[in-house]
Amino acid sequence: MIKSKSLLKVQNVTILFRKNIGVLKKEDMIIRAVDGISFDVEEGEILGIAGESGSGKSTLAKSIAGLLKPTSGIILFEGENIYEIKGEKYRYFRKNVQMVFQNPFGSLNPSMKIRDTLKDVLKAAKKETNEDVLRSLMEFVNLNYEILDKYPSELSGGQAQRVAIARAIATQPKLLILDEPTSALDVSVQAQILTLLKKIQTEKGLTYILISHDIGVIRYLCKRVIVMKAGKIVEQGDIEDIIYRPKEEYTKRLVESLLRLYGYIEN
Amino acid sequence: METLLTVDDLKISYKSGNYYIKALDGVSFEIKEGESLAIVGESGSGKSTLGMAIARLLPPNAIIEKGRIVMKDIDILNSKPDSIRGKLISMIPQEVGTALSPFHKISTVFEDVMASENKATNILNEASKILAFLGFKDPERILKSYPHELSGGMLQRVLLALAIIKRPYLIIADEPTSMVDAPLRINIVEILNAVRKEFNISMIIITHDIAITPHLCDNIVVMYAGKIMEYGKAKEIIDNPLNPYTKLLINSIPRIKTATRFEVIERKNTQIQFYKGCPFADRCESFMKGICDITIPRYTSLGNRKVLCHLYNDKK
Repeated sequence: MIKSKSLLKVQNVTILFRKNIGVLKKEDMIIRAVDGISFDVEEGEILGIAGESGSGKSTLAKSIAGLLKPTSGIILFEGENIYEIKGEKYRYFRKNVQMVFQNPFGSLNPSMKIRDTLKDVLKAAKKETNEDVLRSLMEFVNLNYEILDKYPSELSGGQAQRVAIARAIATQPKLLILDEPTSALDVSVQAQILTLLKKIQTEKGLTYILISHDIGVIRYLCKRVIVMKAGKIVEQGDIEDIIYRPKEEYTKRLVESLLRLYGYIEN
Repeated sequence: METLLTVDDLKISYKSGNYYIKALDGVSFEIKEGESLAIVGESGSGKSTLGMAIARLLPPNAIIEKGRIVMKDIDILNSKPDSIRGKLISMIPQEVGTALSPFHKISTVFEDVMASENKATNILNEASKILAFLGFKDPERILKSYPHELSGGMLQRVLLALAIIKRPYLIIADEPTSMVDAPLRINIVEILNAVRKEFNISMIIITHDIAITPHLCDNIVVMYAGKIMEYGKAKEIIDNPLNPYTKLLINSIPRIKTATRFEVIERKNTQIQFYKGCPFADRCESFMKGICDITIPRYTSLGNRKVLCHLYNDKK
């Protein structure tokens, strides 16, 4: 198998959903959540995916994480089709691609202590699960050790999201998919999480795919951005180009209204 | 301008099992007629409780310990909710999808809302006029629709029309711009501004979206842990926040035009929990030991600004 230079290749991916719209009889409607999308992600890059709700960006993220098989098209991780690999290769993919979700309380098991959640992940990746490893993980995401013995319900939103990040980086992955990692958090907590994510990326040289509806968040972390609308890529390129020199009608409208909204804050 | 609403030393707690959780801790402010006020703050700051108290929509486990809310000489907290809602105050909820009954057409909802009014005017005529004003090209079709046939943005405008039709003095909007993209946020701001002008209705905008407040509101109340940390003109507060919490809040917004450099304050004193003193003491960059952790600051008036912080207590 020839290995490609890029870490991840998304080739012509389409994802369709069937939705029952009939009230009494069966009547289906096909929804094109993702409509023929292709892009590459280089190693060590932070790629932003921007778009309004319903643009298909979260569906795409799930698909890249191996959680949702596309209707058509292929996704290659280090040159291997992620929906065809099995056994050791599949475990390698699982270990190296991790995801952080929007709602940390929905993605942490409520009946498990944080210690056990982290231990489970480490065990699955065949890594050491001793106290030192757990403590260094907590330290890395700026949490107290006491958090290890708590349940998710005892944590604040910011703490829970830090735990979710700790869990994601526990297996030392190559690619981290962040699906709206801060949109359930307050702005001041968001600022802390974003600084943490930036620190992790610089220190570990990780590759990120950051999905957000907030151009400001993307601007803070990413260099390259893909703007999505109705399942399609509207425009992609350098984030500064998109903000200062948008080409497409939709991006122009988006940036113009953002600059108007933030007019008072940025002067 | 005449004062429309006065909130005076309001204290509200929630009962949860054997515990009492303080939601509002001595909140006082005024709204003038035709004014638009933003209540900003993070989750748990008490901003929604304040909105619900004014609209008499508090859940049963809320206990009003102290304070008064007066509007047009009517004691809001001691009046029947039915005599207030719709006529004096209307509220637009955050969750627009679940606000309307799925079994009724929009026209039926308008008729229900106006059922208690013995006006001779044609209700549906009036409704479609308001809907047209809110930007619907075909109001007749909207009136014939069921809620599930409309998008979130359309439902929000329908709810706004329902709030306007009885011509209240005050509309409270809870997070009107949450989770929508920028062009729609501007659209909502423009519609709310137009409504305020056309119908001369005062507004309270409960939001964590600080960016929209100077476009929409005259004044801002910044809340933290049930207290008002800063009160003043929206543009002035955004330009020059005085309270350290307000500063943190405004600095935390990721910028678009300029590259963001967060001046992030990690919780410095996490081990210490302050039970007395300033509620923001454990996160404050200007924390003064022996002052902020011991005594509760007083409000200081600086021009038309009101600040709750020890930094300004000695300055007059």
